[in-house]
Amino acid sequence: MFTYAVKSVFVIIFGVMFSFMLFYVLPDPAYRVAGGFADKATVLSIRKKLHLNEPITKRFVTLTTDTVMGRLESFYTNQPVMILAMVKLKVSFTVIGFGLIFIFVLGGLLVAGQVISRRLKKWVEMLSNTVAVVPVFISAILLLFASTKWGLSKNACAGLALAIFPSILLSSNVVLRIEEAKQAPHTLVARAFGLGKIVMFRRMIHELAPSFVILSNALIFFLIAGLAVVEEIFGIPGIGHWFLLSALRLDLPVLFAVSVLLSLGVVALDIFNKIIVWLLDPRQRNAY
Amino acid sequence: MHIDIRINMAAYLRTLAWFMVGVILCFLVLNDPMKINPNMVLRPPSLTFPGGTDRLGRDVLARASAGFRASLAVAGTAEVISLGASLVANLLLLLMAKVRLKALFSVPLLALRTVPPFLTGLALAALLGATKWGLIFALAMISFPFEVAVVEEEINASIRMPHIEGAKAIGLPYYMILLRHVGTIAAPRIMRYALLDFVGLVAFEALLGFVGMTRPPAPSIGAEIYNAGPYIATYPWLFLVPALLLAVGLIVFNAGLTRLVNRR
Repeated sequence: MFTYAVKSVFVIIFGVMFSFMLFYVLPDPAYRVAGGFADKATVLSIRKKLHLNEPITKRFVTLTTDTVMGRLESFYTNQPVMILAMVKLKVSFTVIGFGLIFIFVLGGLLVAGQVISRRLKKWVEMLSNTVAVVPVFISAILLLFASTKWGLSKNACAGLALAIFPSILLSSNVVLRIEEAKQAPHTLVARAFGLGKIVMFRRMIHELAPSFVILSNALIFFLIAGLAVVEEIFGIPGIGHWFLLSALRLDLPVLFAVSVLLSLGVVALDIFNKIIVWLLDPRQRNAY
Repeated sequence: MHIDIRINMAAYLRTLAWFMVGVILCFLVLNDPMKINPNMVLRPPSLTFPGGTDRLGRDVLARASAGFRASLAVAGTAEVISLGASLVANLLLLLMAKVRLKALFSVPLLALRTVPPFLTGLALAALLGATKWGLIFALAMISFPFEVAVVEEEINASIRMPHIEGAKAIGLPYYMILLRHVGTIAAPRIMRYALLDFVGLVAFEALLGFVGMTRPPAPSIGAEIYNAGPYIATYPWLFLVPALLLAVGLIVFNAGLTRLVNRR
């Protein structure tokens, strides 16, 4: 556990350093921000504002400190990034909430469809495999069309577009693990001993623990990539739309702060996953 | 015996058929995708323009097909770079493990995975510009953090096998164990991941085009879909042709590659 904690701290430090290298060191961002026709004075003022004239170590310390203290400001709006992030996050919560509901509803339906009958399973599997490949921006545009035509809630449709792939991922993983668990020697022995349904259900939950880890990892991936696209298509001014806009107009302070926050979020999620697996599956407890 | 050969042949032909459909989708360029026809603006699909025309009178199907081909080329190059970089990184990891300094290299690699790949890819594409190599580098950076982990896992799983332990015990040189034994076991599995990851990268390339990482007037399938979004009710072919081509292309390549790797 101690080694894991130390490793996590180093992972965060390296993650922040990687973001810093990516946005502030590798290419000279001043020219890209200023554009091809900018004069020397404009480029110089941008360099000053982005701390690009300072030595690398000082620049890194300034940026990290400003991010942690919440002083880092957007290059274009001059508003504190953290406050802006909170405001945008509030807007995105509805979409994320709908997305989560749809993930479990769709995922549950797909699992039920595959568990009920073998013939249905084949069709559900084929449908899932086909739909899973269709990019989120195509399904989102079709759902936007549906929401405009039939007056459906924009947030609900955006949540549905966001939920399609994770729900398929969740259902296929859960079905696979249920099938594996049913055939596992310890399950067969437990069944032969005539263990009750509740005990068997608890055993099944142990087997399903990794599925939730996969889901949460996929969620963070899709909430970032999918939310940006879905909010852009539906015109929702949330954190995804803001992040996409910042990336396109190279608002480097926003990109740096968001990537630092996300690094922290991913490490926190990893710890949360470990705790969930620890709680759900007693066999994993000795691993930490 | 004859039945087996016939079954194998049928399976090969089915796999080949998937790829043939994919190749056909790439070469549906019946007209010049860049040619502007002011007299043929926003025409529905016809024999001359099977996918209809856009606001500048350009062939929508030709543009979508050329864009899809460009996506395949960019994603393929990015996949090769990412795979090569993953193999090099894993060789370094193995060398570091030999001198008990693996953490020095593995922790930064783990840290790469904490920064979400879409953020990295999008920011890199924006910083490097929407050039061909900018997109390739961005896509390679999206793929690399996960590919390196998969390659590491496969190599470690191969190294743990009993006959590798045996090879070590009889004193075979390390490089020979890696090349002749670990390589032959891990390579097919790594290729399996790389082929399926390639389809994901094609979708990501289209996504980058969709959010504006393009260089007009060069055709980009993602940009075609984005530009058609507002006209979906009035001029549906503008959206449906590139969206269907991309969706069918991804499904076909995914199914073909899945069949191919499952056979292996």
